[in-house]
Amino acid sequence: MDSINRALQAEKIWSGETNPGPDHSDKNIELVKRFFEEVWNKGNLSLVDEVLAPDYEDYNRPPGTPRGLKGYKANVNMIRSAFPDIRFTLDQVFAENDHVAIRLTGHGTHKGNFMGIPPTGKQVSFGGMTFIRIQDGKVAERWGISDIPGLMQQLGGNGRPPSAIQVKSPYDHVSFMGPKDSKSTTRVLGVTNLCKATKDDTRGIYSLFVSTVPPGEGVPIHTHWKEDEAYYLLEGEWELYDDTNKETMTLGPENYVYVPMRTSHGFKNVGDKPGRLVLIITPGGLEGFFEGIGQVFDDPDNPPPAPSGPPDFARAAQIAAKYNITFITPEG
Amino acid sequence: MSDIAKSLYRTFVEEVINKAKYDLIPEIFAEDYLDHNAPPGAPVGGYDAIRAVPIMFRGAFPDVHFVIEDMISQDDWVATRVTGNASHLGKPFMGIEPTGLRVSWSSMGFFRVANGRIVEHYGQPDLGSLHAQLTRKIEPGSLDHNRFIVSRYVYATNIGELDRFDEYVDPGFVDHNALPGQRPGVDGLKDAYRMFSSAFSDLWYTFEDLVAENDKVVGRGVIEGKHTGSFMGVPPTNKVIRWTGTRIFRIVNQKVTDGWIDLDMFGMMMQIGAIPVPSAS
Repeated sequence: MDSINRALQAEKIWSGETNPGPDHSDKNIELVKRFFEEVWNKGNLSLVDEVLAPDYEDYNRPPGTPRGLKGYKANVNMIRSAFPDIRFTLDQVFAENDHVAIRLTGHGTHKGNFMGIPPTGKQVSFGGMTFIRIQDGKVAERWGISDIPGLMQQLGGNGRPPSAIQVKSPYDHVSFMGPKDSKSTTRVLGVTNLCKATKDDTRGIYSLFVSTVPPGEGVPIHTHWKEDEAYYLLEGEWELYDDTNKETMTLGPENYVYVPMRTSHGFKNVGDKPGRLVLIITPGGLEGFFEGIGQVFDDPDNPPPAPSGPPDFARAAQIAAKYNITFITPEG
Repeated sequence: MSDIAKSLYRTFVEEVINKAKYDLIPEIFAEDYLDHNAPPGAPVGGYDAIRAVPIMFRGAFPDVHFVIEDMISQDDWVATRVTGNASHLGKPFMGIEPTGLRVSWSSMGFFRVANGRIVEHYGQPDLGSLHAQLTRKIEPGSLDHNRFIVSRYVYATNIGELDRFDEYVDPGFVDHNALPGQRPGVDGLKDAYRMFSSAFSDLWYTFEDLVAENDKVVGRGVIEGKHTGSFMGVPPTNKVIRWTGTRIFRIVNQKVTDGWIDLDMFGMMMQIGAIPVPSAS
């Protein structure tokens, strides 16, 4: 309790109890209540000229609004055109000397554009707090914070109640992609990879690809030193190689393959039609390797012409090393 | 009554938030305290709820400092307005990895006191402004950008993603305090980090201060990790070890080219028992 007593002592000195000056607290509270009712709830802008001081200063103006009374009116108009039935309830109003603190909640229906969001018809409510200083019966200064992030979230429609701290994240909702959607489309040694999930989409946990492999093509023997890999074969006839244990597996659609890290492996489409498979790698990040080593393009149906000449194995090995992959190259 | 509310809030800001004295919380708050605006996922009641918010801010902003701008009280309530000043040098905040940026934001609250303790609270931090500041465009080559590069590079070491060095560290990096036998360039730098991270798990370097001038960035901070592996021949003690470090970096063309890194190796070696602790008498 010692620290509290010390603070209490300091408080008395700090607050200058000796001469607090004339107290207009009740009058100031009445002014604030009338102002909110008339200006915000009824849209009576003439009261702005009456109540705000000519050199009114707002320290939390919305970005881009003008200073002074003009800016205040613009803000009222912006909110009232987006939420024509807006009603602010004053949950708490305190006054001390010439300062007033207000805790309020706005309720309204989203019927007009608001910060780039077209009307949704949703009923919203959002909190706010405002501090003002009153001088000679007029509002001279304002500091205010509204829960705009919370309001935006309600308009975005994830149904959460408003909250003071909003963290926007790709990880708080279910998402999906269409058949040809891809975060990164690459071709490596004839294999086309549509990346459905990059490491940035999965907190680094995995990357997922759908790969199309022409007949006779495949991925040469290589080793991931840090990642586990899994394939789910969708179409085609395949040979899977486990070079660590010198085994070859002949597999087809709906076979599942697990490749633990540090196991040398490769595969080849041994059929006469293009083969397709799902490739999952964990931890994620292999898309970076594909982008570094292969051709990057946008439209999966229109790949660029394949590079001419033999593959540059030295360069490939250099990029592979960055991703902790080693290849058995013709040079050894 | 109002004096008590104000002094309790003042102690909370100046001691608990600004000096991280979380053990004072039971002297300020009631055990059944309720936070009406607790962040999603955070506890809403009790001492855990009170600790959660300042710990979250200090984690992201290790030098966080609040200034009380206004307090207005009525009956057993106090309304407060503060300004937070801080540098984003620690953990990610609102999903944004450390930027090294200095930020300033407002926060307001309404607190109620009963029986000499704060019992409930409504809060409204200006997170919209804070988010906008942390995502503002940083001019390449500016001092802010140099602080950004150093913050992100050190963050990469903290999360163990040394691959990210390619983005921030020059391949020809010169370590002016290289360990004996350290390879030249960025590879040697990675080796040095691996040597520490293999001996200390959950190793985390926190900048408590980061100053940029001309082409240099100077950081002072604290390193913490659990000694779970052998370090320079000293077997693991499984103790959490904390030691300080001062680092100076040179940035050329948006890459870290030089480092002068001084760590309190003596203090660290004493804590892991490699060097005897001098007796006080």
